[in-house]
Amino acid sequence: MRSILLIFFILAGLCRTEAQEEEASPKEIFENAVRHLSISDARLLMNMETTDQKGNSKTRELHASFAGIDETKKVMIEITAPDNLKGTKVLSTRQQEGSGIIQVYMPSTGKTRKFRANNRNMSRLGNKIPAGHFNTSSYTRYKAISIGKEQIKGVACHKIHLRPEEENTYGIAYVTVKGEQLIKVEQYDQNARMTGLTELSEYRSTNLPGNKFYPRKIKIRETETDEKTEITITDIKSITDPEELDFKMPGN
Amino acid sequence: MKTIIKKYTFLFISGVVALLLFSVSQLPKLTINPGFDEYIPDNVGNRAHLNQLDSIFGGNEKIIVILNRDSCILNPESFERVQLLVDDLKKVQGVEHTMSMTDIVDIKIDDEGFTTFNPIVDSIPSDQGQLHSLKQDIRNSEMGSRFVSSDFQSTALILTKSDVMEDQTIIAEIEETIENNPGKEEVYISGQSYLRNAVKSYIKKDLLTLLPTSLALMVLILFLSFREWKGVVLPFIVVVLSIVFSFGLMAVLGWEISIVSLLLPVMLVAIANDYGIHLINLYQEKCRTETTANMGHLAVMVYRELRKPILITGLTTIGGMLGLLSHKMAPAAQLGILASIGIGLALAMSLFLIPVLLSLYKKPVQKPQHIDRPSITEKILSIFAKWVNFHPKTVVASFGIATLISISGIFLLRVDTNVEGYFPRHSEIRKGIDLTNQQFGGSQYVSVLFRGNMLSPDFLNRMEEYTGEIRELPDAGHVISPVTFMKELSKGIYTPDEPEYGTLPRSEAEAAQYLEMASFTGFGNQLGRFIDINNANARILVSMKDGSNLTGKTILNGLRNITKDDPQLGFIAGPGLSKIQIAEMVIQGQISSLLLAFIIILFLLSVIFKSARAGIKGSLPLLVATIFLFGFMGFFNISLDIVTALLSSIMIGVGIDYTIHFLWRYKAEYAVRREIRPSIWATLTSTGRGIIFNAFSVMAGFSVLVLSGFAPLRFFGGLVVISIFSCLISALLLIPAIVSLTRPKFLEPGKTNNE
Repeated sequence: MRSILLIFFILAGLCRTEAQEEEASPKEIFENAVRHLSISDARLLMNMETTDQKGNSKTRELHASFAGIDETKKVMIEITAPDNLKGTKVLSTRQQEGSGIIQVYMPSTGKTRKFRANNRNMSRLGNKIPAGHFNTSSYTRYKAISIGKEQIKGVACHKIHLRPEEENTYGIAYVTVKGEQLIKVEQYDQNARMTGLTELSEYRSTNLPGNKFYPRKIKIRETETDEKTEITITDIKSITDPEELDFKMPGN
Repeated sequence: MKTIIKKYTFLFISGVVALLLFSVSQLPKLTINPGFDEYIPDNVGNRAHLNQLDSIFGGNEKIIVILNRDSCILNPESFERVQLLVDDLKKVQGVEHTMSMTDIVDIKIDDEGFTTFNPIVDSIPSDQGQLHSLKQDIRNSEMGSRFVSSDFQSTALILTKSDVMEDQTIIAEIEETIENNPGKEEVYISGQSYLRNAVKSYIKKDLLTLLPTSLALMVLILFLSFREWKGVVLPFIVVVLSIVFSFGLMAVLGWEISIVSLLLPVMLVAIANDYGIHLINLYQEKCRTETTANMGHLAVMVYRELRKPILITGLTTIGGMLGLLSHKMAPAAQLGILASIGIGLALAMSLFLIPVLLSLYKKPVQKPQHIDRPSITEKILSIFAKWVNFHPKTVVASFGIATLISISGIFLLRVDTNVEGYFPRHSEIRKGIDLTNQQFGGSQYVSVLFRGNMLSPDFLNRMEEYTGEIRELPDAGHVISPVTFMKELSKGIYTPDEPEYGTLPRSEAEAAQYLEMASFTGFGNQLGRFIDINNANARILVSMKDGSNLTGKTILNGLRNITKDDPQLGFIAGPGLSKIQIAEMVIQGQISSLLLAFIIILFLLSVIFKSARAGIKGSLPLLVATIFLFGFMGFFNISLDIVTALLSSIMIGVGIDYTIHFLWRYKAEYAVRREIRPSIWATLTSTGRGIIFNAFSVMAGFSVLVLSGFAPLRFFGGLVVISIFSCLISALLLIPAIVSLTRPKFLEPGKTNNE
């Protein structure tokens, strides 16, 4: 479940376009790639399979809805299968300045509980990387350096080293030269040990505005626990005129 | 032999050198295995269950770092040190996860309706009232006692170790990290990984200490006995070669050095020595009496006279060692094989190599020699001869009474395979173990595994009941289960005034959603140690307050009683119970190896003396010595463990020699004298000296074990002295008395059938 948040924060990054130089800098290349992934006013239908280090797995079916309402970014995740989790909802609300709230609705109790979504709590809430990491407004604090190009499954990719200014952890992002599609992100700790790997594949065109291309598969691996998560996006639908009501938790 | 010496000197020596070079080349392949779980076959009992638990919940060994001081550990300095240590320990390669008192979390809903996970200890208040309040919060927290001791003088950091990381590397780095973060607190480390690492370093230390010491002792004894260097060098060469060949073979077979293997070089020094001693002894005698013979002739004479008795004693010793093959514990069986082969090679080299090498020397100029025998030995043997000849029934009755008393001691004998007891009380590792056991509930765990639908409220309620009952067991430390987490999580869902606060979910769906929320809020990994990803397996984890076999058995029986008849119970297993399984193997192995050794010896004696009665009567001193040994252990509270359980087979293999020497010589004496009393007297006063000398050199050889870092090996060294001494006394008193009373036919050739 916490992996979902990671991906959804990637996908829900605010879009801010700026005038592009002819030769994009590594930071711009990465921001463009993330921008291509960020969506709003859309619903994703997906299956998520989580496998533990012993090879045992469990599957969830989810809807994830994205919208920007009144300068607030909202993501609503609803579990639709299996039966004993059906109706469980997670609503993430993120303000422009970076603060946010996460609410969890449990249908069995009829209760919605909320959590403050700051960096400290997000790490306690399961995200290995603070949510702000994938918010474009916080990229100003990142240093992005190109460390060359590499072929990934026959496709030429920019290799971009990303390091937040105040931390010793870093990541390496692989963005295709053609199309600026993000296909891999490696996360490393302060000892240069890989802590996570995210792979995005099977990009396909969608009927969303701007003819966006989206990955059909997202694979995440946490090296510490050797837990793997595979998300398959089965459908993407546009939401016309999203309303506050669509992003309201029961009981609130 | 003359021909052999003439034609094959070069071949023998070349062959030995070639074998030596090959063995030495294999030695770098040897590795040390400090673990004890491998003693148990993979597919048996607790070990098989442990493998299943690993496949469900993962391995996840813990290393515990304890900070201890005489005053309260909740002070700003200590807290800062804890934080610095946590930060640095997280960076250690192989440490997957670190937890400390800052991870004791209070889950609640705050005034604004937010669910919070606030650490109970995020700073140390200076105000005494607030400090007292903090202590209360820690006491009231389920997790508190895992990280802070009840007397508030110690705190524990719990590290999760990666399965692929080597013990040596990670422990060294942890120790370095602790050194780089100094403070006023004493720091101790415990956990299976640290224990294994300590065992490994103790084994290395012992190898470097015991082997040179036993060899030095051997050189001293040989020189004092023979007063010439060839009397030292030749047996020394044989012993060193047999040790090198045995370890070379160990490397070739891919076997690992363990605590049990430490006995091998000491055994070979003590036992393999004897054949060379007899040969040199007789060679010196022949030098004095055979003045015209050259060295080649002398070598041949020595060989011819001693080949049979040496061969017999060698074979019986090997027979005793082979009794160890019946052990299910691989290291014990491996020791039996290696010792047998080592002794066999020593036997062969003594019989062939020593005479060959002797023939190469120049014959020494003879000077008047005093036979350096302690006169007290002669006096003692004369007394023994008098007792045996004139009071044989009294002698036999005395042994009978001693045996009966010893039998009563056997009922006090206990088995203890707890590795924690192997280390001296004053050692750092033992202090860490004791602190963990006394203040943090112990480091040895048992799992109670359940299978089926783990989310059903009915099952969860039963699990809650069991958890409560297990906490009442006197030797149970921490008891953790999924219900512990679920009840804590409910405090983040319900407010204190709601009846559901601090309770279990009421439906399967609610339980599933609790788990989903746990995963979402960062407790997924912790919970995954108690309930699997598909909610089909769950366990209660129980720590034991001490690692003794008695506590293990008590806990096991308690758990069985509490959970009996539960339809969803899978099994009860854990590293904490491995020692019980090892203990059972020790007992089984002890019985089977004793039986096997006795059968082999009985058979050999029957063949040697061509009489089944010889086998039975010759085995009697060993039976008495064995009973005496176990009785002694029972009376003096020396437990039977993986090392001391090997003693009886070794004792039988070595002790039988004295009986054989006596019977062999008596037969020869009787053939000449045809009367019992003079024959007994002559045998005791001649061969008796050799027997005493032989026994004392064996006892001296094994006595170096008292220098070992491991308690079982130190006890083993002491017990060898007791057991060999028993065999000695039995051979010098009991056997002659029985011979005097029963006049066995096999010792009186030419006698009629009337006995």
